[in-house]
Amino acid sequence: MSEAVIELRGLAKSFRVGLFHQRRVQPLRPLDLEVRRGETFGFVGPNGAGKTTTIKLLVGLLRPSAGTVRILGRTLPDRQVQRQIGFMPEVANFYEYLSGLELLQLHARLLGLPPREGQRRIAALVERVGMAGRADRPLRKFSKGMVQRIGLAQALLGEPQLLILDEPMSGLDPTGRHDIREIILEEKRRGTTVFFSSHILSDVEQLCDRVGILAGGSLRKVGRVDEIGRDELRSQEVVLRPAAPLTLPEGLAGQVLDRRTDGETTALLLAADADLGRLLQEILAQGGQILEVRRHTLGLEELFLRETREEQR
Amino acid sequence: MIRGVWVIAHNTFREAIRNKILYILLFVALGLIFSSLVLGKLSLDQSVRVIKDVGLGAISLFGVVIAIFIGINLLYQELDRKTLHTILVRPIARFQFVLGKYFGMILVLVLMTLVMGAVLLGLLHLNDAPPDGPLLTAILLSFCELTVVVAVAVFFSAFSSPFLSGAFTFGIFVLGRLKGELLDVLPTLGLGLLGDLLELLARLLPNLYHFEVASYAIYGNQLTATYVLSTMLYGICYTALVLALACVLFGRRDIL
Repeated sequence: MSEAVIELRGLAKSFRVGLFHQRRVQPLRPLDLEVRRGETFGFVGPNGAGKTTTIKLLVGLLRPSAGTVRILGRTLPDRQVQRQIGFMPEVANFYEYLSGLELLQLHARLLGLPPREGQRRIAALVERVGMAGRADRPLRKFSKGMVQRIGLAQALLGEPQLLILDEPMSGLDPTGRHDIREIILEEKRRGTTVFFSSHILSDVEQLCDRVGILAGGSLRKVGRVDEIGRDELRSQEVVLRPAAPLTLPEGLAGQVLDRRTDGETTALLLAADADLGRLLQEILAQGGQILEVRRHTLGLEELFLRETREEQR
Repeated sequence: MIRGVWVIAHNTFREAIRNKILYILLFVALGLIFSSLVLGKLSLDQSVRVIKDVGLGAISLFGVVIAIFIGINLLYQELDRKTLHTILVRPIARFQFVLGKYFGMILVLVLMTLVMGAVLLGLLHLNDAPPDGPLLTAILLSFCELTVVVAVAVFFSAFSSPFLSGAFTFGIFVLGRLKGELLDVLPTLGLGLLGDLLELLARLLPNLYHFEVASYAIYGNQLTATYVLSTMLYGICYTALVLALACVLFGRRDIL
């Protein structure tokens, strides 16, 4: 099993608010999570779910109220580890008095890159994020998409082992989203561990190996993108022959949501909690032939909606 | 460690010198210094003294205004605009960030003091008054006073809004100039426990009166080297203490 790049154990955050700090709010309840080397992990949740709080705890901007954060096996602050983290915040606010190039040069110096190496990486990244010929303008004249691109460039400047992106695609036009998605995929191919938050589920499905659903400050589900809803039945379907209608006992008839026939076979759509065993017995008892039993599980979007609906009410 | 502080200081300096308000304040200060030429002509054979008096006053006053105006925003603006989020994730400690902001501001004040001082010396030269030791000492100690004021501004900026930071820093500047008088007067007021408390608070203030030596410069009286060095040492120690507190406070806070 590959090494854990992010290890969160019982991580929680609470704040005291109000004039006299009399009220306590807890944006993040105890959370356990591991992200392994080379994984692309998507952190999804509605607004206010605690995604940004978790990310700020991960990068050391917030201090945990409880629990621990370990990045690359060490606790922050740690200079060596901080060199290996690339971070782009949700609202990428940069010094507006700088140009895009000056901002990247500032970050190169903070990373301790030798000047020539810094210049080499900046030139390559400006090209890679599609800002060649435009990065020398002042940041205050940049569009949202240009700021995001420069933000991604500064996150990649240290050639990080861990890339943490908070809503990297928010507010971007389709081209911008596509380009940033491609860069994340490139990083994934290079073996960079990517942890990113989003509420654009299609991006998460396209990019991520695993996904975590956060709602109300709690991690509700974690799993592989292609498996996460597999244990969650939405409905069941039984295809049988003959097409002639069966006479089902009253208790079972009520569990059939839909009945379709194509002249040769009948398909019965059943509720997730229907008594499938009893239905199959009944079909066989009435001389029917069972051709297929299908389990319809939840997709990421349905799972997301189910897990977050209560919090959004 | 020094590299990280220097990178932040350089960027803070760059930010300040791209701020138009700084130039407006500098031009007003230079205008006031130039006005001393006219005021000097109106005086009776006292033009050199008037130029020194007005010039040193302008350096001190506008230095303090610049120190407070920019100093109170140094950390608050970074927090408010969230510009420090990507900076603090880099391999740089929070205390390095605070020190970098402070020393960046000190670079700005060095530049401002040099420009204002050079203009003052130029005007004196026009009046056949060469630069003398007392005048240069007064400019030096005025600059040292500014380093203390910026440290106080940075300290408040680490945990309060610019308005409160500005009010507190200005209050400490005024009371710091009056510290000697406060300590003389408070015991005579008969305030009991409240008086003791106020005296304790007054003792915590920086004694900025020590840095205000314009009257010596105007009349050409040279201060002893011991006085100048001990005053500078006092300023450095007070600044170090205030900055250490600012670093602790900033280091413990959550960056929202």
